Parts: sequence; C-alpha cells; structure tokens
Amino acid sequence: MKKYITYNMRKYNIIIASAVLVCFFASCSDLLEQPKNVVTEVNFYSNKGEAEAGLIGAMAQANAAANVSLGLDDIQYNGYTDVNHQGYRDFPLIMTSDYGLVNWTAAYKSVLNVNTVIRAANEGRILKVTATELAEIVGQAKFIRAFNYFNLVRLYGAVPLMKEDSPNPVTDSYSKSPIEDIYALITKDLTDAIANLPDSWPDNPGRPTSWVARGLLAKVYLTMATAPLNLTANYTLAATQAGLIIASGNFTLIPDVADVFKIDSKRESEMMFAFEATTDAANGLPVGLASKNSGGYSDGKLDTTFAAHEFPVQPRRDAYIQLYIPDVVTNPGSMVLIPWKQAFEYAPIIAKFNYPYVDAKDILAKAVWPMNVPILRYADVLLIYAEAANRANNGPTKEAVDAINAVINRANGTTGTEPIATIGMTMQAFEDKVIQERKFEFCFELGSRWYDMVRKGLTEHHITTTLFPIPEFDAKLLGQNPGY
Amino acid sequence: MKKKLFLGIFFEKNCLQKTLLIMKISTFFLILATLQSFAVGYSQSSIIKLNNESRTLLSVIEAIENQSDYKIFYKTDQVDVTQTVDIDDNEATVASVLNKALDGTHLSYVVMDKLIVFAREEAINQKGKVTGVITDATTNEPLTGVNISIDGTSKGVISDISGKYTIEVEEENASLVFSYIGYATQKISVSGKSTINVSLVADIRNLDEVVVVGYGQQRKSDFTGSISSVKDKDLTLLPTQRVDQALQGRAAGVTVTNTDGAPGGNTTIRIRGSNSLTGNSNALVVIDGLQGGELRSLNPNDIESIEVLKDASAAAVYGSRGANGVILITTKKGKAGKPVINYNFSEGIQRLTRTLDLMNAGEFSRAANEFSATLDEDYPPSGFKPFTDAEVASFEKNGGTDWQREVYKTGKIINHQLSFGGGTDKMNYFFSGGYMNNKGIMINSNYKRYSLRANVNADINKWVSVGLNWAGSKEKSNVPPFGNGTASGVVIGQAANEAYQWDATTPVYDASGNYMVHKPGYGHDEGANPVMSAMETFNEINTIRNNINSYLDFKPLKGLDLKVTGGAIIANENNISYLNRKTFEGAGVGGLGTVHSAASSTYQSSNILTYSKDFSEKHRLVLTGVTEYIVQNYQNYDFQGDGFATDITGIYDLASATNLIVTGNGITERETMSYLGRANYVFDSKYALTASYRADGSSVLAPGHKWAYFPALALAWTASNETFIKNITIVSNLKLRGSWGILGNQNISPYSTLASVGGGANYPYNGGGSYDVGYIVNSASNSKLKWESTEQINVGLDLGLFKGRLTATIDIYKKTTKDLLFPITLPSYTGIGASNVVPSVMTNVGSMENKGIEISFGGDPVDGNFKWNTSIVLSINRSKILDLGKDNEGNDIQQLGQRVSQGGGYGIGTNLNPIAWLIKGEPLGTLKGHIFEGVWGTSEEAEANKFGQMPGDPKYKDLNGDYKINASDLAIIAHTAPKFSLGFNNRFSYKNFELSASVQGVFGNQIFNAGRIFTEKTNWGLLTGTSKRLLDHWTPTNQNTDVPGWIVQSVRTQYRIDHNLPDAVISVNGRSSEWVEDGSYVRLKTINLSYNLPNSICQKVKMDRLRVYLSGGNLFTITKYTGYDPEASSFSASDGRAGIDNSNYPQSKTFTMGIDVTF
Repeated sequence: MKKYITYNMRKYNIIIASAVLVCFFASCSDLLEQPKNVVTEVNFYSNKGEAEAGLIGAMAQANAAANVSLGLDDIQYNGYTDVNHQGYRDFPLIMTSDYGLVNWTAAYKSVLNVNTVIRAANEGRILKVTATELAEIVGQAKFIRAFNYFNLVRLYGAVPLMKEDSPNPVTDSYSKSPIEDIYALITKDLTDAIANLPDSWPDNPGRPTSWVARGLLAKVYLTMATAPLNLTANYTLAATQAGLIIASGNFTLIPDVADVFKIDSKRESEMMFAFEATTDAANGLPVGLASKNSGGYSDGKLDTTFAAHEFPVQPRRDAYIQLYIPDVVTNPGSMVLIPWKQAFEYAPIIAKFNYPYVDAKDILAKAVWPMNVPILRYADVLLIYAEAANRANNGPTKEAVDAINAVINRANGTTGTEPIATIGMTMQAFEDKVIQERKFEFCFELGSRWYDMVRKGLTEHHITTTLFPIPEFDAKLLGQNPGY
Repeated sequence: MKKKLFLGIFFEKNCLQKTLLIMKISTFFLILATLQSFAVGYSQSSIIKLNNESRTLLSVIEAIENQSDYKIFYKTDQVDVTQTVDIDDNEATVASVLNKALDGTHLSYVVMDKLIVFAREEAINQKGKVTGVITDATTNEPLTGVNISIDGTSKGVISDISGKYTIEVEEENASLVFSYIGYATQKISVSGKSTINVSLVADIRNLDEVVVVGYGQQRKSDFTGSISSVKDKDLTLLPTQRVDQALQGRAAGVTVTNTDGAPGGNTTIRIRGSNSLTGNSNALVVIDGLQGGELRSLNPNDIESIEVLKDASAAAVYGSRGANGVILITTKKGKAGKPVINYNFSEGIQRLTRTLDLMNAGEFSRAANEFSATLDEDYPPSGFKPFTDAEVASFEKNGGTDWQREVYKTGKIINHQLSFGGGTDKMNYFFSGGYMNNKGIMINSNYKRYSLRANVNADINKWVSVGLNWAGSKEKSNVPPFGNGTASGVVIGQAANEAYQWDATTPVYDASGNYMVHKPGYGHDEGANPVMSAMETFNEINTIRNNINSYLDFKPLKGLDLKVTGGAIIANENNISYLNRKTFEGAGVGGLGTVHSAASSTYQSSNILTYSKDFSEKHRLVLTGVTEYIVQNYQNYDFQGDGFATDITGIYDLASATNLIVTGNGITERETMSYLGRANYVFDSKYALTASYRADGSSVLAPGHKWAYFPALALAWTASNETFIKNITIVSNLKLRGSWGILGNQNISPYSTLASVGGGANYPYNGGGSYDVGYIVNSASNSKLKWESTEQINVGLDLGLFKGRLTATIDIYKKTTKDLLFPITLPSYTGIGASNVVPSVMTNVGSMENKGIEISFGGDPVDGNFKWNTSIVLSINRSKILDLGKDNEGNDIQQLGQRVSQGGGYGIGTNLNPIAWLIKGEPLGTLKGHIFEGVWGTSEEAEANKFGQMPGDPKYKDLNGDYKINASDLAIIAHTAPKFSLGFNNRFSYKNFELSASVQGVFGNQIFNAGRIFTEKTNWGLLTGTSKRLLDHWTPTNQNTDVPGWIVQSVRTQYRIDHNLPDAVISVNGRSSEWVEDGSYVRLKTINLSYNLPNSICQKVKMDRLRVYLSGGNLFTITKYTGYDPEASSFSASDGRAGIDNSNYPQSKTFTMGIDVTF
C-alpha cells in the first residue's frame, strides 16, 4: 500500500511521461516510396544515357506507329476483300472505328516519352552532361515529337496536344487542339531541333541531324501551304529550307536507281533519315509489304493500272516494283510477268523492301526485315523544293527544274522513257509533274502518296472526309471525326 | 523451537462465558495454528511449582491451572495427558514448564490471553501456508492454471496440473481469491484454515471473462463489439492439425472454405463476406499482437485462444487492414508450478471422400464403338471401331483400369506434438515442438510441417516485465499441379483432371513397363497419362517462417501500463518445379523447370499505453493509446528454364538449361505508421461505450494522400443489470450492442502511385549493328489513389438464460464498401505503356455491400454424469454490387466480365467468353451463361428445326427469340455464394469418455462443375467423356434424358437437306447451365471420441493425465454436388470468381488414432 502512496504524488507526471515515451518509440518516417527495382519518371532520365534510353523508347514507339500499309492511296491494289485492306475508294465507309488504332496509340506513346525527357531536361534533372549534349538531347526529343505530331495531324486532323508542361493526362481530361496549334508546335519544335542538333552523328548515324530536321520542316511548310490550311505563304518557307539543304552540297542522289534500296546503301547521303534496321535488330515494318514468295505478307500489292501501265518503263520501275516472278512452269530459271489478271495473289508487288534487296537467309533467321524504312530521302528534298519553288515563283525556276530532273534522270538511267520537266511548263503543269513524280519515286514509303492526295485534293469525288477515325475509346472523350 | 502465539482474549471463569469461549476456540483453532506472530504475554513469567513425584502431562496441566489464571484446553483424542514429561526443575515459569513438558511430544501450544490451547505440532508448524486442490464443481476434474491470489495484494500463485496449489498467507484476516477463465470467481476467507479445497463452478455466462481484443484485453461484460471466440480445446482434436480448418463451422460469421484438398492446401477465410472486387478478402491474422500471421504454418497445440473481431468497432483499431475482419491468436504461456510436459501423437489414414461415377472398360469400349458408328465422315474413317468384339468381351470381364484408384491411394497423416511449460510466480516459459507429415491421397503428394515455439515471460521487478515469443516453422510440400496451376496454365498433364478423363480401357503401363500412351481414335487421346502426370511432376514448396515478438511491459502506477513491443515475421519461400521429359509439358522441350524464390519480412513496433481507472463503484474507464510502425519488405526471383541436360539433375542443374529466362523479379517495401486512441467507459456495469480513432499513414499512397482515418463508436446496454430485469430470474444476461465504424483494406501494391519507367522498347536508334535499350513510361500514376473503405454498422444481442445454461447471440450487420479498387481503361492519348498495351490505371470506383445475420446458440442441455454441451452457429450473408463506376461516356457500368483463367481447355475462362461477371445489383460470385433446357424431343422437332437443330440435339434457352444461341442469350446461371452456412458442434461426456462431433454445412449456392465438360464431352469427333451419364444418351426410344444424342453424321446431313435447315448458331463455349449444380452440403466435419484414463491409473504410471482418442474428418457428406467436393473452388483470391471447380485436388476423409499424455 505504501508504495502507491509515494507514487501517487508523481502520478500525472508518470502518465505524461509514458505518453511521451509511446510517441518517442514510434519511428518517424516520411513514408516516401523509394523503389529499388522500379524506376520512375522522377529518378530516371538522370544522365545522358538514361535520357537517350528515353529517346530510343520514343523512337521505338514512333516506329510502331508508322503503319506503312495504310492501304488507302490510289497506287495500292484495290481488290482486297478483308475490311482492313480495302482501298481508299471505299474510305471511310468500310473502315472500322478502330482502323488506324496503332497509328494513334503508338504515336501518343512516343509523344509521352519525349515529353518526359524534355521535362527532365527543363527541370535540370539530367546531370553530368555538357550544355551541348543537353541541347542535343532536347533537339532529338523535339524532332521526334514533331515527327509524331506531323503524322497525327495529317491522319486525324485536330488532336489533343500534349507538351512537356501540359497537365497529367491520367488525371486531367483533354480535348482536341486546332490544327493550327499542332502545326505551330511542330514548326517550333523543328526550328529548335535545327538549332540544337549537330550536322552529323559520325558515331551514331541512325540519329536525326539538323539537316534532317530542316528537311522535315520543309515538308511541314509545304504541307501547311496545301490543304487543309492552304497557307500559301509557306511555299517560300518550304523552298527556303529545302534550298538550304540543296545548297549545302552535303547530299547527293545515289547514282544508280537499282542501288537505292540495297541494304548497303543505307548510309549513303541520299538516305537522310529512316526507321533503322540491321540484321541483328530487324525492323518489322517491311515484312507486311513484301511478297509471300519471299516470306512477307504481300500487303504491298500495287494497283495493276498504276504498275503495268502508268509507271514509266524505266530502270526505276524494275528497281521499285515487281512485275515478274520466277517461272517455275514453262521455263524454269527465267522470269515471267506476274499474271495479275488471274487473281489477286498475282497482283504486282512493291519491290523496295523485297526481292532482290533482301537476303532470304536474313529473313529466315530474323523473321523480320533487316531493311531500313526511309523517312526522309534527298530525292524528297529535291521534289519538295521543286514543288515549293514553282509555287513561290508562280512557275518553274531553273533550280526547280534541275531538282525534279535529277530525280527523273536517275530513274530513267540510260534506257528510260519518262519525259523530263522543262522551264517552259506552266506552274500547274510543272506541279502536276512533281506530284506525279512523287507517286513514282515514293510509292509505299510511309503513306507518302496518301498524304499527297489529301493535301492536293486528289481523292475521289465521293470521299467526304480524308481523316482517320479516332480510336473508339478516345473518340468518346474527344468526339469522333466526321463520317464515322 | 516451538512457536507460540498469544492473543488478548478476555477470559472469565463464568461458565457461560467459558462455553462461548470453547466455541470461539474451536473456531479459531486452526487459524491460530497457522499464524506466525510471536508475542510475550504478561502471565508467562508466573512461577509454577511442581511436585516431584508425578510428572505426567496431566499433573503439569493441573499445576498450571491451579497456580495461575490460565486454563488449558485440549482434545482428549489428540492429547495423551497420561504421558510422562521430562521436567527437572521444581519451579519454573509457565512458558518454560510448557516448553519442557511438550518437548519431545507431537504437541505444541497456543496462549490466548489466559487460555492455553494444546494442538498437534504439524498444524502449528505449517501455519502461514494454505494448500488445497481445485476442481471443477461438476466434473470433479482438477483444474490447472487457476489463479489464486491474496485479496488486496499482488501476490498470487497458479494451480498445477493436478489442481494443487500452495500459498503463503501473511495476514490473519486474509482472503483468497480463486479465479479461472470460464468459471465463477470465489473468495474464501482463510480464517486459520491450512487446507482450502475449492470446487469452481463453471460460469457459462462468462460475464467476467476477459477477452482478447485488439491491443489489449477487456472484460467480456464490458465489451461492446461483436466477437467470436474459439478455445484451444476445440482446436487440437482435429485430425488435420490445421488452425484454419479448425475454425470451420465454429464461429458465426466466419466462413472457412477448403478450396482444395491437397496436403497443405488452401483455404479461404471470409468474415462476413468478401469486401473487394479484385483485392484479397482474407482476414488479417494477428498472432500475439504481430500482424500478418499465417494460419497454415501455426501449430494448433500452441494456441490458447482465437478471437475473431467482426464488427467495425472491434476491428477498426486495425484501421487500413481491418476491413476483412481480424483473427486474433493468443499462444500458450507456461503456468506457475511444476513443469508440465505434454506429448500428443496421432496417426491416421486418408482416403478420397468419393469417386466419380465413370464407365468401366466394358461400358466404355461398347460406348466408344457405338459412338464411332455415328461418325461416317472424315476422321475416323467410316466404319471404324476402336475395339474388336473380343476386346470388348475381355474388358467386360476385367473392368479395365480404374484411374481414380491409380491416382488416389491411401494417404497417411502423422502428428507429433511435444510441449513443455512451467514457471514460477515471477516468470513462466512454454516450449513446444511439432511435426506433421501428411502423405496426400494423390500419389507423389506430401506435406510436412515442423514447428517450434518458445514463449518466455518474466517479471524483472514489481513494475517491469519482459517477454519473448519465438515461433519457427518449416513447411515442405510436393503437390502435382492441379486446377489452374501449371507454369504455362495448361491443364493437360494435370493428374487431378486427367484421372477422370482417361478411359478404363487404357492400362497404366505398356508391356515393357513404360507409361502407356493413349491410342488415337477414341477417348482422351491428346492427354497425358494420369499416373505419369502425378509421378513425373516435381513441384516442391519450401517455406520457412519465423515469428519473433518481444515486449517490455511497464506498470509504473496502478492502472497504468506501457507495453513496448517489437516483432518480426521473416519468411522465405522457395518453390521449385520440374516437369521432366516424360510429362506433357516437359516432353517437347527437354524438361521444363521453374524456380520461385521469395523472401519477405515484416517488422512491427507497437507501443501500447493503457490507463484504467475505476472512479468510485460506478464509473470504469480504460484509455488506450497506440503508436505503431510496420515495414514490410518483399523480394522475389523467378526463373523458367527448358532444355535441361538430363532429367537426373533436372532443375537442380539450372546451369544446364538451354533456355533460361527470368520470369519475375521484384523488390518492394511498404511502410505504415499508425496512431490509435481508444476509450472504453462503463457506467454502473450497465452502459458501456467504446470510441476509437485510428490514423494510418502509408507509403503506398501518393504524397498528400498518405493518411487515412478510421473512426469507430460502439455502445452496449447490459439490461440484465437493471433492477427491473434482475427480477426476472430466468434471464441471467441480456445485453444490447450497437456499433459503427470505418475500416480499410490495404490491397494497394507498393509503387502503385508512381509512374514507373521500364525497358522493353528497344530500337537500333544509333544505327549500329544491334538494338539499343529503350525505356518507356510503363504505368500510369494515380495520385488520388486511396484505400477501399468499408463502413459497417452492427446491432447485436447477447442473451443468457437459466443462469447461463442457455446462451444466444444475434448480430445483424451491414457493410458498405466504397472506393473499390479497379483498373480502369485510360484513353490511348495518355501514351502509357508498351505499344501493344491498352493503358489502364488502378482507380477507386464503385461500391458494394454485405449484410447479414449471425445467430449462435449454446448451452448445456444435459448436465450431471452424462453431459451434453452444444452450440449452433448460423450465418447469413448477402452481398450486392452497388456501383461499378462509370464508362467514359458517363453512364453507369452495368456489368463487367471477369477473366478467370489462362485457358485450360474448358472454354470458359477467356476474355471473349467470361463466365464470372460483376453485375450491378447482383451478389459477388455471379456466373453468366446459356440456360440448358435438356434435349430436343421428337415432339419438339418443328421448334428444333428453327434453330437448325434436330431431335437429340441440346436445347438452350433463346432469350431474344432470334433462333440463335449467342452472346445475347446469356443469362445468370449461378450464384456461387451460399445463402447461409451452419455449424453444429456437440460435446458429450460420460465419466471418462468424451465424444465431440461437429457438423458443418452451406446452403443455397451453386457450383460450376467444369470437370463435367470433360467427362461428358463427345464433341471432338471422339467419345472423349468417361461419365456413366453418357450411357443414358438420347435416342428416339430414350427421350427422357438430358444427355444429347449421338447422331450419325450422314443422317444429320440428309436430315438438314430434307428439312431445309438453316445453319445452326449455337455458340455456347462451355458456359452452360448444364454444368451448374447445387453446391449445398452438410458434412460431419469432425468427430472425436476420447477416453481419459482414471486418475488412479495415471498416478501409478506417474502421469498426470493420459487420453487416447479416435478422430475422423469429413467422414460423411450429404450433397447433390456430383464433383469430388462441394467446397472446391479454383479461383480463391476474389469471391467474384469463386465456385468454379476446375478439377482441384479432392478433399479426403481422415481417420486418426491418438494418444495425449501429460506429465
């Protein structure tokens, strides 16, 4: 009993002390997560290598977004029966609302990743880099972003615009930004890229240079000068940018047209920028286009009229398209004309990513093509210049004529029959010639012909919209494009 | 030295007074003898003169009485006054005379004022010590561990194994308090007694019983929440020695399901239903205060009590982990007294509970020939008969292979338990070791559990005590994969479902002793030999688990208690599997092996401050404050390899694998910091209030949202303490309870709120010869992510009648869980994830409710020599999905199909054909499919033709009347959650025999018996099914059946032309109500007959107790379900997918014999 009396005097002190003790024993933690095998946006991209890994990831996504087999233009075979291969003539009526899903989703995945890298750079989180290296990282990122938005705006029109400082799309909702705003970002990004990128990447030849950015900018200006914006003042801008590339003297056409798509030619100066592939790191894009007899999916079938009648008889025809197949029936060992009138399997097929440029051994080993898929060729720059300068000058200039004739002459080689352009042509005749030349030169190169048809209004009369459907889920939030 | 005692009792020569005095003396005789004070009285110095001749005791007595005022009292039967005493002196003081007179005798004396009492010496020598034996008033069995304390002091002892106790008593007017959980406390005044034998009366009302609650203990009478208690006696009798299984049918509101029957197999424990659509719904297990325990690894013999916290008020103290209910386990402590050694051994056998009714070889061969005759197109060729008449005749004779007998043999279960406990009043210890070896009924399956425990508690001084609990266990099992569980999700090659698919015509081995390969052209010819599938599969799981918990307990003031605890759960799991070249999956790839290695650790520091104070008689207050910090780490490595050098070394030579890939690797950490305050206030033993508030901060939530708060409030009114009810004599207890609270569910994975960046987007960006490593943003971050929260209200009634011989508890509850975690699809423009991944983010959407009633009755209907104790627990729970969130157009989502499996060949588990659905307004566990309506009869030909079908074809309900059976005809075909579940537990005893039996059952649920898709299948152009039901297939002369007919192809073709039939669109994909069965069952879960050897025999063999017993598990089941077991469920993580039986390892019935010895 006695002891309690003693303690009672200190009773409240003890209670308080115990309470304090309880709190003291409680560990203090800020409860912040510091994962060890998970990297986050916040702790990754902290040095040059990690930032470049982000660019590589973004470029991989852009590659996934580049659906070569758009299947829409007037050079593609029009006799498919399955819904995703029907030609543009039925567009958009037969398209499922998830047609082009991958072009949309992968492009935005690429955009997210470059935005993340740019944000890290802006917030000073990329450490141990020189100012030049940092500028080059941002330059590449902006180039990739511009490339993605250029594809998105041409395929879908107005789309959500996300930059590095935009709100988090997971928690904030977005709506479509006007086409003008998209192009403003593209031109700004490419201008920045031109300023920040080096003229060449001697050790990393796959990367975009400032010349590549300039070439893409020229193409962007040219596109802006045509439909749907029709900002004709931009013809001058396009001609200026393309002209600078030509004037630099850094780029030449590969002399023999039969060499253009040879694997060994991928570092020639004409091949300015491409989706990269090697035998160890093949690219899946061309596999769909290549013929079944060389292991592909034969999606690169050509409109027979275009291939057999419209395409000029010249070495380029035999280099770019395949009209003959090995004869295994009447005269084994020789080649015979593809009997395309018989059935659609026998339609002529694009040869650019096909026999004779790929080695069957590589195909079998990798199951995908070891071929680069060009994004920008010097031939493109020449034709952009020709088209833009003609318009800017209200008629062909000597430089414009030289530019297109360089492409035609190479295509003709020594035996070709395609007429060259002349200074005496009207502005319209010259432009028609350029657009037609683009059709021959860039057939099956990343939707080139489709984009030309859209911007020049060449689609057939009954086609009321030239925009792709926005994927179903996103369309419910953003509103679908007209016609779906 | 003789001890003497003098008391100042006034003495008169008055006769009446003398008589009274004699009475008083008699009363105090023994008390006096036990007291130890010594005092010197004034008369002791009186001189007595003795005459010389007579020196008998009587003469001395007379001399003293004559020469002094003293009177001497003695009992003549105790004191021989004629004996001679050896006194030399003629004169001496009274004291010295008495000392000398009694020297060498067995007597001693006591002086009370002027009265001297002679007594036997041994009585006086033991004064101050009280001994006795404590027994149960009804059974007369000794009670061990009864707490005996001296009233008003902290001094106390505990009765030993034979119920004996000894206590030192210092003060004359002391009283002893005998208290024991479950018995009425008795207070007995010592009053000089040296032996106090006490019979304690079982207090069935348990009003003063103390129950373990979260972070403390509480008088049950003061408890305001809803709790179910299970005592150790119910646990150790089970033949399977599993704590989770022991809980089955024991507690209202607690549903335990043995989802498979494998040794060491899985159970699900749901307390008041399942609260989560996607997360884990298993209850939180707290072992001796340490959160996150694992019941399977626990030795049931180590358990003192299990308390299940069910309502919000009881469980909310566990905040973000309490939503699924809490199971509190208290392990045993040593008891003061001599060491108690207990050894328990049991051994038994296990058998398959039932076999499926399959065709024998004769039946199958005839049926296969008949079926083949219906195939006159394509393959097999027309007229092909798998069996010749001679083969059929031979099969008729020998019956062929019974694959179920080949795969399921007699299992064996051996259990050794040894424990050792004891202590003093200052410390106690309990050590135990257990070994369980269970060879499963499926060949090549086994499970071993080794467990060790050391619990030590010690008082350092009067106000500080320490304790350490350590429990280690190792589990090792090998169980061939079943149900849904191979590395690649393939069910071919799983013995459990191959066993019933292989027809009896195929022998196990071929002539040279190799596993028989099934011949093509009939039966399940793509499968893998069932015996091979079991025997050649190696799938070992090793789990080592350490639970360590220590505490320092300070009691600086009366009523103030500070308990500082630190604990850890450290576990390692190592799972290696190898499917060798003989197995289905290992055959083509040169052996297929996997390694899963995981280490997890949980560190917990809880500091509990309790202050209890009784303000006057009427107010009782207990305040509890807790701070807690828990950090959980997990790390795993997973590999898969194939192309191993040789099957001899297999997976053990990982380096020899041609292909070895890392299939998983992760390391996560989760930190939780918590503060808890709780107040219990009781007024006048009538009104009780509990209020608690817990704040949990967790690392897994986003900054700014890390803290969540969990309040709870409960009230109880003990009406039976009101005078107006006290007068109703039959009512001994009546309490009304009500509670409300918020609980959470900690099922958010660490790093869910971080946008993770990862590899996997490689691209040759640099233009070199190979890929460059690319990183992308892999997951979305939801910075607003929070826990699922469950609001629960509970109203309860406790009733005790006839002095507690009949008790009843009724609880009604409603739980509403909101902010359910669900991954929702994000727009693609967010850009998250790899190129082929649809972006999604874990979000709080939707809500659901569970409401239910729990009723338990208990009582002792028969008492006396024959005793019967019984309890019935009834649980009714209804869940309902209230909201599933909104789609991106803002409309309420009405239903979501859930993927249940990786494939498996049942055709029911794909994304395209989901069978399990979450449907607004429906309960969790709703299956959708096509309604099977039997077989088209010849009288229904015209109607059948509209579907493109003919008589004999299966008939499905066409809900939209378009004569097509496709996705628009899906209807609800099953609810897999039971409507109610029941437990009925009985214990009968007669003399030394005791019989306990518990019956358990669930009612009103349906099971999707996916196995029947295989056993009744004919649609692969072969007779692949083995079920006897196929013999009853439809024919024009056997139309009264629901087994479709076997229609000859050419007949069908001609029929289609003749009747101009449209193309049949019957797209059922296995999702048919044909396979839905009633899952209700009643099962004799356990029965145990034990015999306690009589004490007399035990003592002869130097044992305190010896019991022999016979136990049976799952001996008897009544059910309409035709699969192996109505408890089976292949998908146990979420109840949304429960009740689908993809051929799990079947349950077994068990018989064991055992012996239980205590020294």
